[in-house]
Amino acid sequence: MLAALSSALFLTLMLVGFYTYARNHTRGAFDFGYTFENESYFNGLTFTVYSFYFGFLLVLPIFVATEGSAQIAGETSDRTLGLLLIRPITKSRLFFTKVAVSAGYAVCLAGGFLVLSLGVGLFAVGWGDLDLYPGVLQMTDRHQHLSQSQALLRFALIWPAASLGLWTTLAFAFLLSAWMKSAVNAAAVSISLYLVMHVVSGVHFFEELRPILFTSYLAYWRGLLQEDVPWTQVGRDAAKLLGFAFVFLALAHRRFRLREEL
Amino acid sequence: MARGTLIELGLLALASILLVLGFGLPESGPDTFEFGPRPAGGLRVVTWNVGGAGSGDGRALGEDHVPAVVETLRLLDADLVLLQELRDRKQLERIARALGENVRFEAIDDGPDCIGALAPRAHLFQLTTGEWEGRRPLALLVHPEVGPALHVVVLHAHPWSARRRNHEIGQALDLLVPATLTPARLLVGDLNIDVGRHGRNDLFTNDEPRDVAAYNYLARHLVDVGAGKGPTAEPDRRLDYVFASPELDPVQAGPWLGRRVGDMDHHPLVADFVHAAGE
Repeated sequence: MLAALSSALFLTLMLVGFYTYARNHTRGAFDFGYTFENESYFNGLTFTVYSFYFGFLLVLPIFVATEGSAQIAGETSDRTLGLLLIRPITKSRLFFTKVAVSAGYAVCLAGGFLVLSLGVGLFAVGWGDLDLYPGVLQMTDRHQHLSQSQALLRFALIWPAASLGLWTTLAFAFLLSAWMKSAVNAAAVSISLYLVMHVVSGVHFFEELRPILFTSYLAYWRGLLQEDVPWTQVGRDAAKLLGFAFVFLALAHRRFRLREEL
Repeated sequence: MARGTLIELGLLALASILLVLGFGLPESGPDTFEFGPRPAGGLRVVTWNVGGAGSGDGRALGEDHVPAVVETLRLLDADLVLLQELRDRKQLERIARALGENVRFEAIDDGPDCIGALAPRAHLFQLTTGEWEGRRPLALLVHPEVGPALHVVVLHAHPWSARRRNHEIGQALDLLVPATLTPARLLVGDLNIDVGRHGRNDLFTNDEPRDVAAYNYLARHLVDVGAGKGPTAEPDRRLDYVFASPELDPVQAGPWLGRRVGDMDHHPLVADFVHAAGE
């Protein structure tokens, strides 16, 4: 519920920013010099790209990290984990049940946010084709044009692709959750470390460090908005993210399996 | 072996396979310029900021680097060479004489650095640019030995201010827009904007959206023939451009790596063209 409300607030703020920017830059109220922007550029699909991109990288990971952190550390601090383990159930089964439920939550979160962004964009901003320009969100090095129907189909593909990215963040939160006794600490550390890695992976200077941070690949789904989708690159980045997720889950499982429950 | 350990080993095995697939498969890098002879009957254009990084403020081409620049230009055997960050017109003349007695040259020397053009196989006519806000470009009418005439604007855009760059690039394009000009047109030089998708560039600009606007305004009118060919300057930045009208058909283009000397921070950007059919 909190995630839904926060997402709605985020989209409202994005809508206000997008609307005022478009109004200023297309009606001569602001001297922007020589530009490519025009009224048809500012439509609901462009709004969706902007809002989903920033929401996916900065808002949804907070909810996913909180969810993942609460799963084990929350049960530990509430002392309900011991009660769950009294029942004839293995720790592995409990662990993977929690992983599956949280993964489903991440899929719903990505899908819900995408549908909400599209709905707000298309009904509040307007329909049209999707034009992507070099430099805008670092998505392309040449102008890309997708018709409205093509773009909607690509957004449908982005849903599972983005969910996969959220699973890696979730697995990372599970790892910290298995090590910590307090859900608040686990969530705070997960979110903090996520933000640190997100910033480092976005800064040009850290070219040696960026490849080993999963946050460098999270926005790989942007490739799905190219006219000719670079499937090899998209598949390569998806494999890296899943690989990171399995490493985190293996370590989290080991820690959870071997630790003493009081 | 405990069941839990088997699960963990299974997860790690899966992770290994995926990470090997993700990291192990060779990635296709950008196509840089493959050195070779200029296209027969075509046009080879080179743009090169030959200045040095200095202590961060940039400095004009040092005399000690001139022989290396001449050697690279001799190897390229280009029809049209457009240089930025020369010391002065006399330095350009010395480079022209080193390349050959018949090499024609033109320069504009009223900005913070000298912009020059060299043409071993073409006639050059410098054009006036009228009222100008910011760094003045070198505007030329070029008559090659083979093929139709073309209009060329060479710009070294402001390095620090995105607003000034935006105006300089926009004005430079305005010079090429009038319908009375020849169909073949080029806008080249060190534009000091870095857009695309190879990393975050906002550390190097004071207003990234304005640079994005300037680039895309240009790309709406002319073709960026070096797009996707990798960085042209250090560190890992694409700052040098050859924008061409559709009448000029690019055969290959890209930075020629390994030709910098001393503290030079730009590679020569080479573009080979043939004129489109019917020209």
